[in-house]
Amino acid sequence: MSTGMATRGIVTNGAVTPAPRSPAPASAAGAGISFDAVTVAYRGAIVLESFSLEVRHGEIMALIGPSGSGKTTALRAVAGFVRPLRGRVRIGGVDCTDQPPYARGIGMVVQNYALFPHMRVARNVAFGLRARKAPRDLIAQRVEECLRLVGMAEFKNRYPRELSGGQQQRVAIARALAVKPAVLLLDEPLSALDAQIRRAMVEELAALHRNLPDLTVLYVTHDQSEALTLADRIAVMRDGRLVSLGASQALYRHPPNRFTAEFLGRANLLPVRLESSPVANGHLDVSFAGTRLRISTDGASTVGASTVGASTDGAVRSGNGSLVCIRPHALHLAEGDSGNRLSGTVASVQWQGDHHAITLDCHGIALRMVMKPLREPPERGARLDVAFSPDDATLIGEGTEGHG
Amino acid sequence: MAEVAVVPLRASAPPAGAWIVPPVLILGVLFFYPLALIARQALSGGGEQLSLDHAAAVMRTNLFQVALWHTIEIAVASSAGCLLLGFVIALILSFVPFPGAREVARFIDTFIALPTFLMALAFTFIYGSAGVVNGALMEAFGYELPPVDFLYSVWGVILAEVTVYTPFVLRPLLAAFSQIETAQIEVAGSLGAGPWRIVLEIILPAGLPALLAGGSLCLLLTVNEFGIVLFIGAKGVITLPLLVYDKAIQQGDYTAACVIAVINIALSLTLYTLYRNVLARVGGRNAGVV
Amino acid sequence: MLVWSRAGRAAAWSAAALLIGVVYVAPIAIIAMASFAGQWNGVLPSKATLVHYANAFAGDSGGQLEASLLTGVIASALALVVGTWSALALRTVPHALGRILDLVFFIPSAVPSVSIGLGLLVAFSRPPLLLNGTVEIVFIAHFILISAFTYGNVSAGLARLSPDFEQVAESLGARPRFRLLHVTLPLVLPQLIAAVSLSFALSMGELGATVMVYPPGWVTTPVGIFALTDRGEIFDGAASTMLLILATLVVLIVLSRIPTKAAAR
Repeated sequence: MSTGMATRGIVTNGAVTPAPRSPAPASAAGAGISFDAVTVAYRGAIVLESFSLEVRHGEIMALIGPSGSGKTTALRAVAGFVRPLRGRVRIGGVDCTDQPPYARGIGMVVQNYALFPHMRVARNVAFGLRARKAPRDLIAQRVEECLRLVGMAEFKNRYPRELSGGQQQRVAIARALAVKPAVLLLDEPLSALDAQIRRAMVEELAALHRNLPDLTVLYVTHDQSEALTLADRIAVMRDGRLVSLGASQALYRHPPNRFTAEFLGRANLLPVRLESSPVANGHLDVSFAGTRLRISTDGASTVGASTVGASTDGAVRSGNGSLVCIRPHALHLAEGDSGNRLSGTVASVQWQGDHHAITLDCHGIALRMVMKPLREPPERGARLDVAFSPDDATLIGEGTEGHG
Repeated sequence: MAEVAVVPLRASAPPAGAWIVPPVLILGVLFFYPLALIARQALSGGGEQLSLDHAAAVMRTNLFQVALWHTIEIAVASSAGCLLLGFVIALILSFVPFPGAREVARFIDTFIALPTFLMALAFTFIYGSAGVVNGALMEAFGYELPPVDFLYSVWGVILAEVTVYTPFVLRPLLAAFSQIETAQIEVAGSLGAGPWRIVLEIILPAGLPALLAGGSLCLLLTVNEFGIVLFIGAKGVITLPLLVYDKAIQQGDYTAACVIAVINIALSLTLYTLYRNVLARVGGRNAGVV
Repeated sequence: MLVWSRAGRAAAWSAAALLIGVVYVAPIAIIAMASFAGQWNGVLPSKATLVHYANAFAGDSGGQLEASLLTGVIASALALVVGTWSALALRTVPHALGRILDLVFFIPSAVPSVSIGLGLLVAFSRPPLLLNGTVEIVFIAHFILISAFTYGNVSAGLARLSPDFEQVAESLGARPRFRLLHVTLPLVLPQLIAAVSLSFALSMGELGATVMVYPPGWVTTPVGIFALTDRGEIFDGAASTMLLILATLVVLIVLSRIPTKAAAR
C-alpha cells in the first residue's frame, strides 16, 4: 500500500487545519487523549463516574465492557456530543471540554457508518475537508490518497447504497482519516458486519494502523476478541467506571479481577487459601481443596496490568476469598509429577474440529480446558490429571472490582 | 448529585431554542390572535362587556341546533361509511390482488390532493334531478318526476363525504395490510379457516389500529367539511361551518358567526385530541392530519 | 390468496371494479364529459365543444387559474420556509416545551377553514393591521391552513433521520450552517418535496377560508367554480374544475420528478 498517510510529515503543511476563524484544534500530529475525572450524567443517572484514562499518542486503546458500562459515553465525551458534569477532556494536551465537536479535530466512525446517502463515495470522503474550506486541489489529492489507503479508489463514483457493508466501512474510515484527525474514534465499527468480514476487517484495521503509527485510536467495542486482536492496551469498563487497564496480552493472561477475567474470555476460577507469605521469591503458594499450587507473582506486575481501586497485592494480603484464574488453554494433561497438578473427573468431552474441549469436575468446580484434537479422547467419568505452569495462573481477590 | 442531564451540544442553538421564536410569533399573530378575537367577539358581541348572553341567544335558535345536529349526524355517518368502504376496497386490493391493483390504489390516493367540492359537483351531474341516473331512469321507465332525489338531503352530503374521505382510511389500512405475512393467511387457510374467519380473526385485528386512526381523522375532517355542503346547496342541510359562512358573509352578523365558530372550533379540537390520542395509542407518529 | 376459487375471485374483482368505477371513476369521467358538453338533453351529452374551456379563460373566469396558481405557490413557499424552520428549531428546545409547541404547530390543521377565514376577517379589519380587502389576506389564510402539513412532513422526516449523520458531520468539522445545508436538508429533501406537493394541492382546492376573505380582484378557481355552478352555468364550472385538476396534477408530477438521492436509502 503506497501511502502518504503513513508519513505524518505532511500533517503540518497547514492545508488541513480548519479555516482561520475556527478555534484552533488540538495539534493534528501526535495527540493523546486524556480523561481527567470525567463524570457524565444522563437524566439524573450517572453513566460515567469520575473516569480517568490516558490514551497515549499513537496507540490503539480499546474501551470494552458490557452495554451500559459507559464506554460509548466516554467516546462521545471525546467527540463532544456529551458535556461532562465534572472533569476535563483533553486532546493532545489541549482542554477541549468546552469546545464544540467541529472544533476538536477528530475523526469518527460509527456503528452504521452514517455515510451520507446523497453523496458519492468521493464526496463523502471530501466532506470534512470541504467543511474546513480546504483548497480544491488538496481535497482531490487527499480523497484519492485516503481511498487508496483503504483500497476503495475504484469505487469513488458509487453511492453508499451501492456498496457492501465492508466497503461502506472502509469509506467511513477513509472519510474520518481525510481530515488528518488528531485522534480517531471508532464506535463499535465492526458490529454491523457478519462474522467472516469482521475478522477480515480487524486484520485491515491492524494493517492500517501499522501504516499510520502516529494515529491515536480510541476503539469502543463489546467484543473481546476484536479488542485483544487490535488494541495495544485495553480498558475494561463496568457500570460507568474503569475496572481495569493494561496491555492487551497481560490483561488477558493476568486479569487483576474477576470481572476482567471473565469478560476477556473463558476463565477457570478456583477458590484458594493463601499458604505462604506474600510475594516470596516471585511466587507464592496457595491451596485449593487441599492441593498446594504455586503461582508466579511476577506476571501481573511486570506487564503492567493494573486494577482500579484495589491492587493484586491487596487481594493477596486479604488472604481469604481469593481466586486463582487459569485460562482453559493453559491447562494441559499432566506428565510426570512435577508442577501444579489438579485432578478431576471428566464431565464432558466435545470435539470442535480444530480442538477438543474437556470439562473436568474438580472438587465441585467445573474446570474447562481446550487442547489440540486428541487421538484418544478420555471417556466421560474417567479420572484425569491436569497441570499448569505457575506463570499461567493469577491470583485475584474476590471483591477487587471495587464494587459489586 | 443528579442535577444536569447530558446536554447534547447543538451548536446551532445560540441561547437554547431562540430559533423557535420567529415561527411561534408568526403563528401567534396570524392564527392565535385571530382565534382570540373570535372568542372575544363571541363573548362581547362587539361591545365592551363580556357575557354569555350572545352565545346563549345563538345557541337557543332552532337554526343553530339543527346545524349542530346535522354536523354530528353527517360526520358520524360519513366516517362509518368511510371505514366500511375503505375496509372493503383495502381487503380486495391487498388480499385478492389483480394486475394493476397498485395503480388503482394510487389512483384513489390522488383524491386526497383534489378539492372536495369536486365530488359534490360530479354528484349533481350523476344523481342530480337533471343528472345521468335520473335521465336514464325517466327515459327507460317513463317517470314523470326524477325518481332519485337523495342528493339534496343529508344523504347526498354523506355519500359525497364518504367518497372524498375514504382514501384517508384506505392509506393507513393498505399500509397495515401490507405488514400481514402471506404465510399467516396461508397457514390459517391450510388449517381449514374460511375467508370470513380469516378476515375476522387475522385481518381485522391487524387493521384495527389503522381503522381507529383513519376513522378518528375522518370524524375531524367531516366535521370541518365546507365545500361539499356548500356545493350541494340543499336547503335543509346546514352544518356549523356553513352556518358560520352564512351568518358572516350573507347576513353580516359577526357576533353570531363568532359564537358558532367558537363552538365549531371546540368540537374540532376535541376530535383532534381524540385523533392524537388514538395515534399515540396505536403507535406510529403520523405526520399531522394526513 | 384469500379467495381460492376462480368464481370467488371473479366475484370479488367485479365487486371491486363496480365499487371503484361508481365511486371514483364515474365522477371524474362525468365532469370531464360535462366540460366538453355542447348539449345535454338525454342521458349523455350529445355534442362536444370547447366553448366551456374558452369561457374559463375569458370574462369573469379569466385570471382565476392564475390567481390560484400564484396563491398556491406563494402560500406553499411560505409554509415550506416557516414549517421547515419550526421543525428544525424545535429540536433545540427543551423536551417538555417541545411537546407543547409540536401540538401548537399542528393545531391550525384541526380548525375549520371557515373559522380561520372568519378569524382573519375579525382580526385584520381593524388596526393595527388592516388587511381586509387585500390579496395578502388570501395568502395568509392559505399559509395558515397548510402550515401544519409542511411542519408535520418535515418534522416526521427529521424524526426518522438518524442522529449519526449530523454528529459524524459535526465531528468532521462541519459548522452548524454547513451541516444544515449539506447534510440535514438534503437528507430530508424527500419530505420537503412531499410537504410542498401536499400543501400546494390543498391550496389549489381551498374554498372555505378563501370564500370568507377574498377581495373582488382575486377570485381563485374554486371560488369561481362555486359562483358558476351557483348561477347554473355548470358546464363552465366543469371545465374550470378540469383545468384546476390538470394544473394541480401537472405541478405534482413535476415535483415528483425532482431527483432525491436520499430517497433510496
